[in-house]
Amino acid sequence: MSASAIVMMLVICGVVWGGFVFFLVRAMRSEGKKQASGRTGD
Amino acid sequence: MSATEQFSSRWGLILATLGMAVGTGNIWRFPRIVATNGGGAFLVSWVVFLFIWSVPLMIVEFSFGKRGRKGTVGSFIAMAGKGPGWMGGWVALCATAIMFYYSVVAGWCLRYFAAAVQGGLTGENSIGFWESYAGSGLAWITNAIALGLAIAVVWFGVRGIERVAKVLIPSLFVLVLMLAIRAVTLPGATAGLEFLFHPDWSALGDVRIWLQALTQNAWDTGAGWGLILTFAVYMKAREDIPLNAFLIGFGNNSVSLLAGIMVLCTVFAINPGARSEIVGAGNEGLTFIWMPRLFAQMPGGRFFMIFFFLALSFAALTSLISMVELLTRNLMDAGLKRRKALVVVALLALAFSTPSALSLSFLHNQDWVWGVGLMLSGLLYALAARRFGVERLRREVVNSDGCDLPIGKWWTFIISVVVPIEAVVLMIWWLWEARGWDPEHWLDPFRSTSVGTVLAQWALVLVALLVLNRWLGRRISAANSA
Repeated sequence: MSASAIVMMLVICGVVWGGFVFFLVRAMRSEGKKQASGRTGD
Repeated sequence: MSATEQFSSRWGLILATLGMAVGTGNIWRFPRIVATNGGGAFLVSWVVFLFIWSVPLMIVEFSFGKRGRKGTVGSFIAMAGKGPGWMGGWVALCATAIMFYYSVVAGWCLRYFAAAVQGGLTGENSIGFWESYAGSGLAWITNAIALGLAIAVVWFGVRGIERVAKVLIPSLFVLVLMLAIRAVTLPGATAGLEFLFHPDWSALGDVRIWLQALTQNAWDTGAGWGLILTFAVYMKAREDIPLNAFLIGFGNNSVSLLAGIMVLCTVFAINPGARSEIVGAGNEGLTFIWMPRLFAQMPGGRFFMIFFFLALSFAALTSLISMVELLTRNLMDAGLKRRKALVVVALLALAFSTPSALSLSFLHNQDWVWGVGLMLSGLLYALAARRFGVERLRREVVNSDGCDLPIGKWWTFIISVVVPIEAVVLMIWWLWEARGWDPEHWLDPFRSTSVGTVLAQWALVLVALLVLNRWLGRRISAANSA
């Protein structure tokens, strides 16, 4: 693979999969806090 | 709304909505479109449109459903007044018309999964298998089975949808991940990665690449279809909107990226000489003719073929479930009980899916007409949000109690200005492209993929909706006050 393709792969996969993991972890933390404080969204 | 008509948790809502978003378009269309539109350059524009089309429209859909607490027609009336009720009707009819052929596609996936398990599908017979099956009576039966499965899930209400999503969506992620790992470990697979990620920067100056990337976002994230709005009806009162929208948008595109890696690495590792023919074979040609051939030449290919068609079946079924729920919800808003509404949906779906099950030409016509119709749906969401007040929507609904990721005024600008421009440009571009496909008959309404067939079918639906607009509003108000 060329260096430019490797860089592009890291950037695109980093943004898309990294973004998914980032938002997933953030939602889990937020949900954990809500559960702890008894505010579950009802 | 009764307690059972609510997702039990945030994860139930997210998994059901991811199930709606991840469909066959992620697995059979995305790899083809990336391969024919400049690889890396396309991916850049595809990520850009995630931020300026898909996620902003998902946020509008969530906010309409959460505030309106009704299906598409009722929520558009609640948000924008009785006048634009027809807009919600358009969104519902567009998604329902798609359901009438999507159930056929889901049936194909089930049939191929069964054939892969039984060992009746080999590389040598893939063309004959497809030609004897597509458009046959058996295709109608598998369509009916797919519809039956989706209706059975929706029969048990939102908790039924949630339970199924909790099993199928994690399984789908695991299956696609396994297939992608197998594909990248095949000898020669790096050529597929090179092809997928090679950045041809000159392609970024090509308007067509950007329009294809926008189209892919409009078709495979489910933004603007009315399906997210439908699930948002069942979200909790103090549930977050923006973080959920970002999570679903990125989750959907993560699956697309895995599917792109899986398909292109498989193609380049097994049959690099035929890559142009494979990616140019269309959705059905790639999936139902070429993939079985490629799997047949791969070590342990039969198992991976089973996993591939199982993943495709899960993706198709979870999307079909959301389409069934959309029509059911609208009928419930008009006064029917869930199970009576589902009987009506089942009868309508069986009747109106029959032409697509028996004729590929009819299916392609419907895919063309209502695929472009989704862009009008996106525009109508933006117009209805403007009528409510986009900034007011941001402050009162999107960033309300329970919000985990407050959204700034950039979103107000995108919904007020950018999305309407994108939708109009996209519709004009597709109709202009279609004019060139058949220059002599582009206005003929009886051609499968002409401009005329789009305009004629849209006009019929729009006239009917405008004539019935007042009645629709009265019917929903009466059912609401009963």
